[in-house]
Amino acid sequence: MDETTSDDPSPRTWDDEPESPARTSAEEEGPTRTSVWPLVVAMGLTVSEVGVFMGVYPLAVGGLVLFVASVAGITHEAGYTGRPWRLAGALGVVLVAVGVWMVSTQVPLAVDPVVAAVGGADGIVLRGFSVVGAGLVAAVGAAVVSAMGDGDVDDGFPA
Amino acid sequence: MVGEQLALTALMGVFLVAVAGFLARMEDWRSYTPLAGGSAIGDAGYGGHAEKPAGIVRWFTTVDHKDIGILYGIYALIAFFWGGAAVLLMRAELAAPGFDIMQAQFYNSLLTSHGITMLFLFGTPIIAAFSNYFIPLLIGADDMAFPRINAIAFWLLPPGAILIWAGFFTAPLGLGIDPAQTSWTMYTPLSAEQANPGVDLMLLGLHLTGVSATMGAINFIATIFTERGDEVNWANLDIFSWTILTQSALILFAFPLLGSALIMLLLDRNFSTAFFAVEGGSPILWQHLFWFFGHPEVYILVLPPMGLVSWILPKFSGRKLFGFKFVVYSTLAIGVLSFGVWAHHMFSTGIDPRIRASFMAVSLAIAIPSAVKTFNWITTMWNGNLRLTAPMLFCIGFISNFVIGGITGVFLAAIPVDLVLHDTYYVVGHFHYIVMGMIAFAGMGALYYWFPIVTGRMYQRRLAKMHFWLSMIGTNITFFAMLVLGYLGMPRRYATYQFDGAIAPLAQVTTLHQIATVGAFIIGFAQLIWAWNMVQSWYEGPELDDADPWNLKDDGMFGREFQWFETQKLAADGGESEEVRADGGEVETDGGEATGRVSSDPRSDGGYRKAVRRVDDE
Repeated sequence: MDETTSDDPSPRTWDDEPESPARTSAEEEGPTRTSVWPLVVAMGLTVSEVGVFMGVYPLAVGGLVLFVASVAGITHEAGYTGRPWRLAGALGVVLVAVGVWMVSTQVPLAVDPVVAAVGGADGIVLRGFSVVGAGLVAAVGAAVVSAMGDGDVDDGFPA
Repeated sequence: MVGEQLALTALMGVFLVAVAGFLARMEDWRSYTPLAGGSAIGDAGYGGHAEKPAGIVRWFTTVDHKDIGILYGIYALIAFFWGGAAVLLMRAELAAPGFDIMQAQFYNSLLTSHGITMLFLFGTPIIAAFSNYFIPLLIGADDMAFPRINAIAFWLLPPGAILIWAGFFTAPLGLGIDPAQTSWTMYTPLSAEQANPGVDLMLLGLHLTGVSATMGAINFIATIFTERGDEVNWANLDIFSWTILTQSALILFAFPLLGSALIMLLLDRNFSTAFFAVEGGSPILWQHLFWFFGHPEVYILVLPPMGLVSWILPKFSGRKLFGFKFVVYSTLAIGVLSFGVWAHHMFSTGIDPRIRASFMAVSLAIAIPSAVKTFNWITTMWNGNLRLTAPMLFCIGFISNFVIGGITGVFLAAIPVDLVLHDTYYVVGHFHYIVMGMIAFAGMGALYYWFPIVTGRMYQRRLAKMHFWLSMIGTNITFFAMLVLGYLGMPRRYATYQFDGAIAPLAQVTTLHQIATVGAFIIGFAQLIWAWNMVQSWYEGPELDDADPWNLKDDGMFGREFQWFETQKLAADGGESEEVRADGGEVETDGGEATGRVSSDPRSDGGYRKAVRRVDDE
C-alpha cells in the first residue's frame, strides 16, 4: 500500500532558490533578493525629469548624474557589465551629445551666438548646457574613479 | 535668481552626499543575517526573509516580488484614502446647491485629484499588488523575470504621486504653485492654457506613473512567457494570469502613447509648440490621443479584477469556472476590441457621422464578450455549493454592479442616447458602477481571500461582512442616484447647481444629490471598518492552524498559491510531512484510517483533480 505516493518526490520550496545560470559572482556570494539600485534609479529619473523640464538646473545636473551612475551600478550588479565605470562614462558622453543637440536646435554652434543665447537666458539653451554639464560630470567622474580602482566590489566603491 | 540656483545647487549637493552615504552604508549589507527582525508586519505568512537586511532598509532595497506586492498594496491604499477624502469633501459641497464649504477652484482641484488618484495611483497599483505577489506563485516561477526592473517600476510611483499632488502641498506656501484644475481627462485648450506650474508637475508625475506601468507590463509579459514552471502550460495557465497577460499587452500599446501625448502637452504649455492649438494640430487631436489611451485604460483596470473574480468565485461555489476557455477568449476579445472604441467618448464633438457609427458598432460589440463572462460567472454559481464568505460576497456584488454598470454603458454606446446623456451625471453613475462597484469590489474580495497567505492570520469575519454590506448599499445608493440625476439633466463637473428651474427640477436634483452624499459617506464609513479590520487582524488576528483556511481541499479547489503557502507553513512548523504533502495533496482518512491517496494533476483553475484510490481496491 502506498498511501502518499507523489508524482513529484521532490516538492519545491521557495526558500531553495534554484540558481540561475545568469547569476553573477556578486549575487552568489550575497543575498539574492535585495538591491540598493532600483530606488536610486527611480530617484535619479524623477529628479532629472523635473530638473530638466522645469528648468531647475541644479536638479537637472544632479538628477542626471545620479541617474547615469545608478544605471551603471544596476547594470553592473545584474552582471551585464564587468565594470560600471565604462558604461557611466559612455552615458556621460551620450548626455553631452544630447545637450549639444539641444543647444544646436536654438542657435548655431559658434561662440558668439551661444554666448548671446546664454546672456539672454534662453531656456532651451540653458537646459542644453545643464545636460552637457551633467554629461561632463559623469564622464570625468567615471574616468577618475576608474583610475582609482578596478571597480570590483572589493574596492569599496558601490558597484 | 542666481541666489536661488546656488541654494538649489547646495541642496542638490547635500542630496547626492546623502545618496552616497546610503550607498556606502549598503556596502556592509551582505553580511546582515537577521532571522526575525526586519519585518514591519511581524511574522508574515511566508518565509524566505533570512537573506534580507533588517528594518526599513529591507523595504527600500527589496526586489522580492512578494515584498514589492505588499509595497504596491500599501501605496495603493494610501492613494485610495487620499482619493476618498477628496470625494467626500466634494460630496459634502454638493449636498446643497450653492458654494457652502469651498469655492469652485478648490472643487475643481479635488475633482482632478480624485479622478487621477483613483485611476492611476489606486486602480493600477492595487492590481499590480496582486499580480506581483501572486502571479509568480500561480505560474510556479521563482520571481519576476526582471526583479530589479520590478522594483524600479514601484519606486517611480511615490515620486509620481508627490508630483501629482504637489499643488496641494505648495498652495499654502504661497509659491504660486496650485493644484491642477484640468479634470483627469486634461482636455485642451483648458489644460494648455492654465499657467499654473502645478499642472506641469502633475503631468510629469503622470508621465512617471506611465513609465512605471510600462516597465511592469513588460516584466509580466516576460514572466508569464518565460518563467512558468514545468507543470504550467498555456492550457492550464490560470485565469488571473491570462487577464494580467492581456492587461500587460494593452498597457504596452496604450501607456507609451499617453506618455507621448503628455510630453506634447508639456511642450505646448512651456515651449510654444502647437500640437493642440486651434491654429496647429487642434484641441480635438488631444481627445483622439487621450482616448486612444483612455479607453483601453478602462480595460487595463477592469480585466484583472474580472480575472480575480473568475479565480475566486469558483472556490466558494464548489465548482470549476464554467466555460474556462470562453472566459479566456472573451478576455482576449475585449483586449482587441478595446482599441477600436475610443471615439465613443467624442460622439458630441462633431466628428464625421460615418466614423461615429463605426465606433458605435464596435462599442456595442464589446457587450458580447462582457456578457459571456457574466453568464459564465452566473452559471458557475448555478446549483453550486455557495459559501457566502466575505470574498464571495464581494465577487457576487461585483457581478451585480457589473450588470448595472455594463448595461448603462451599452445605452451610452448608442449615439442618440449618448447625445442626450453626454456630460451628465448618468455618465458619472455608469463609470462609477464600474470603477467602484467592480474594480474596488474585486480588489477588496481578493484582499480578503489572500489575507491569510500574506499575513498568516485570519481577518475578523463579522467586520468584513459589515464592510461588504455597507459598501454594497452605499455604492448603489450613491451611483443609482447619479443615474437618475443624469436623466434629470444634471451636468457633471460642477461645484454648484444653482441653475434655472427650466434646465432641471432643482428640488429633485437637490434631494438626489443629498442621497448620493449620504451614500458616499456610507461607503467611506465602510472603508474605515475595513482599514481597522486589516490593521488589527494583521497584528492580532488568529494565526492559521493550517494552510487551507477556506477548506478548498474539500472541493478539490486548492490553488497553486495555497499549495505554495502550505510548503511555507510546513517549513516554518518543522514537519508533519507524513500528514500533508508539499505539493498540496493530502492524505484522506476514513474512520481514522488512511484509505487513499491524492495525485497532483494541475488544472486550468489551478486546483488539482482528486484521484482517490481506495485502499480496499488494492
